[in-house]
Amino acid sequence: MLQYFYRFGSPQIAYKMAGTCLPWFGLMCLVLMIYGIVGGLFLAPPDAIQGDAFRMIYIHVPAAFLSLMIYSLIFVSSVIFLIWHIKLADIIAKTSASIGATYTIIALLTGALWGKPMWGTWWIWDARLTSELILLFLYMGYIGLRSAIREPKRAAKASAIVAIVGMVDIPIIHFSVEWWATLHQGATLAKFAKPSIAPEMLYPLLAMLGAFVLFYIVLLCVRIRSEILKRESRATWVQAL
Amino acid sequence: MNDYALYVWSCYISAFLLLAIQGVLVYREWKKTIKKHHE
Repeated sequence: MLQYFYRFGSPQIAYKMAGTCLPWFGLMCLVLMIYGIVGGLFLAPPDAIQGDAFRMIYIHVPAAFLSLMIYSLIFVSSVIFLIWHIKLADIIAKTSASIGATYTIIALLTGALWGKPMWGTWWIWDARLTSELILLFLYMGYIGLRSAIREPKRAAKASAIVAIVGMVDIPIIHFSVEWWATLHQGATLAKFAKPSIAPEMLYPLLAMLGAFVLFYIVLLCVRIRSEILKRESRATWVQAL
Repeated sequence: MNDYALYVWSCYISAFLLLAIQGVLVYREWKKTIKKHHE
């Protein structure tokens, strides 16, 4: 098991795999995104209470989901890097951070745009909103720390520890709507047993969620390849490219 | 969509603009790395 772990963690294999998967993921992302946008803006019926304002769900929810998912991935990669010293895990954590920060900014921005017509305010120090803002600061802290330390190994270790400590915010964000009386609505997608959203509204949302995940993977593949080329510039296989 | 059109379109445009900026930055980084690699 650990052998496979090390094998697929090899920069050479990761470089090739990322290059092979890239066009397919890109194509799938494009198809899902077009369906998600058309479905979200024009095909889904207006919500009974929120009217057409609910259409912001097709951007806000996938962005918020990705902001949490990417940070969780950084956490897992950081743990793997600290325990097994697999270079690829550090590369994934490093290259994911700025993409995760972008999705967090989108989640906060679109949340504010949704909050104004629905709640009457752009921002409120609500448990969900505040914990999501803290997530943005965690991303910024992680990126800042990495660039502040010149020695790559020390930067990787220090930022991995920060990522692990910051993981405490993820369950707080997720459960904040249950733990506290917040203005933010409860879970929409997580309730698979009793869906709280009609199928014609749900399918474009799932498509957009898939598109956002694939867009992240596409960006990640490109960044992983760039980072491997930089780090392994002295390796014979890189020089042979 | 008239009542909320401004909010909905602002939401979509700002989100895709940010994603596009992120995409361009990643692509520029890749081009720069490739150029350096070939030098």
